Amino acid sequence: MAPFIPEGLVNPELNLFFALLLGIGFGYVLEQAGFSSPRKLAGVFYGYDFVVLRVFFTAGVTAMVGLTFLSFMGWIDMSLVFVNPLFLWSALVGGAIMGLGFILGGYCPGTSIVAATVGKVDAMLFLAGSVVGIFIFGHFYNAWEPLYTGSFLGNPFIYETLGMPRSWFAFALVMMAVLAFAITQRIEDNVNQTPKEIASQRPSYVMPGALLILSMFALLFLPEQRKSNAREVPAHELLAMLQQNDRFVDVEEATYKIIQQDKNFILIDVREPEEFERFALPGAINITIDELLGRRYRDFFGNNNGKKVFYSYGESGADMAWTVARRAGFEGIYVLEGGLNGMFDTLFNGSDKPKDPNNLDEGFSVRFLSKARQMFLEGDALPRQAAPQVPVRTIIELETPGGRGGC
Amino acid sequence: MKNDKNLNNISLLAFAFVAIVVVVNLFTTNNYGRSNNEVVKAITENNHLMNYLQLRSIAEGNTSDFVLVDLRSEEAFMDGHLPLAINIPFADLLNKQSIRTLNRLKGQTPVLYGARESDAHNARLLLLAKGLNENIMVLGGNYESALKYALEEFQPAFSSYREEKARFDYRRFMGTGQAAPQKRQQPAGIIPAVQTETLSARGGC
Repeated sequence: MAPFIPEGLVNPELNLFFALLLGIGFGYVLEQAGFSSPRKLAGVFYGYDFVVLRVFFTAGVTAMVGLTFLSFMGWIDMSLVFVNPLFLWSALVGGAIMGLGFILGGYCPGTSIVAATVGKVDAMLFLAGSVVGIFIFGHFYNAWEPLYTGSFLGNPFIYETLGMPRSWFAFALVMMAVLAFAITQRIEDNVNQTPKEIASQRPSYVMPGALLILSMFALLFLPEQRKSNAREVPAHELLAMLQQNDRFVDVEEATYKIIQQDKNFILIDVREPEEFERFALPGAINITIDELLGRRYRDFFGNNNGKKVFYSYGESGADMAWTVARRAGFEGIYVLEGGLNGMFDTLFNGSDKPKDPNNLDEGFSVRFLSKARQMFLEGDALPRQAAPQVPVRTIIELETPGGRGGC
Repeated sequence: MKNDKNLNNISLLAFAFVAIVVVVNLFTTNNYGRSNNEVVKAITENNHLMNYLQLRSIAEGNTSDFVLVDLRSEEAFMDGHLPLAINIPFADLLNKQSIRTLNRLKGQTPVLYGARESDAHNARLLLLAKGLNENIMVLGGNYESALKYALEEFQPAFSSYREEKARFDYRRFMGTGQAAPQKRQQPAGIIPAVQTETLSARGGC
């Protein structure tokens, strides 16, 4: 559900529901492709049936092409995609054990479940055997822990190791897949000695293969990601918004909200953390301009409750943060007019008497500001208590630490 | 056999769908020249503020490496502007003509100033987002302050005037009721994302 949940299009609570749907679809495809038959699975090794290879290559290439396109269009954040870390020795030994079991039993873990579901007794025994294996692994875990977690190599990518761009590797892999499809068909025909008439009646897969290669060829010449995406506000609209001054919150409003400890008025300090720790307005939080677009604050800016007000010493730092955030499509954001300096000027350098005694508005304003001044000087405006932290579900937390992937 | 034909058609349909989505996407998204993250990097990394000493040498005609760009309205520009400045009103900043003017300044660095310092900073931000050269500079302060502190009564002490500076001993005025300085807080309701433990191998088939 990659583009949907982080974009807020789909409620994360529905994650399990979609997992179930996808799982049913996956099982259906495996069964339809004939993966419940061990003869089909073993066919790869004897050369009479390559359907397993084709299905997995197709799945891999489809996912790769899809991800490359989604990443190009800015709909998916590749840094959010989970990649299995590499433990060299456990991968080698585990691969060998798994291959041995595959050729002996005729199933891999996923297909054994599919086959057991359609009622194959040998698959049920296979499943029981894997449960015993899991038990042995768990029980004697301490014995093989050094092997299991040994030579951790992080998340290396083949294209990084080879020193080539991702798109070139994707292109090469697609070429390999198309070639493999053609060659395995030949081998199959030879081994099965298919009569020429039947072979010639097969539909030609030249078109889809050519299109696949063409699409990857197009991606070779396109950047990995576009400079902008559909969520962002266009530059001329930003310029128009910047000329209207409705993004500013004036000093009186800010002062009033600070004294009232209004929870829907969130002050965001965009100065450096050292400056923030030296002094910050009561209840403010610190998000510097380069943290603004980070994943950490995505949920925070995503919900539109209340006013989020940027401030810095002057106006320009906060205003730039506003422009960056507005371009990213954040709503409900404002700028403190004049910044800290302007606020302190108005609050503490103002006079206690209105210049024009007949101007009621000015009179109110001056009385309010002098009252506020008194409160601040005497320390009455205490920092509001931080609200109790409610865990917010993020996409990262949704990843269970358990096992994943597989067939 | 029939199944295979259907498969072929389905795959062709899928390709048509992807092609349409990509083409629609190409035409609907905005034509920015820099991504938002690149812009943030550009505005935080290099120092692009011009001080009043440099401004004085430009105004006196000692250097021709810079061009002052006045972002205020045309009327305000007519009433008075910094010496040797050209006028690009903020409202017309992204017009083709303005961008062409800025691009044509070969070897000369534009220095933006406006009625407010934030106008100049935002103008630079937008021009960078449009993909213009990173060397665009911003004059510290605004038109008024530049006129006053750089040209009329030059004081070296004010030469690096700009908005983003602490001007008060803030803690003295606004008692926060705490002896210790405030610690950097998390926004309420946000808990830092838990990094999942990666030091455990996962299964697969």
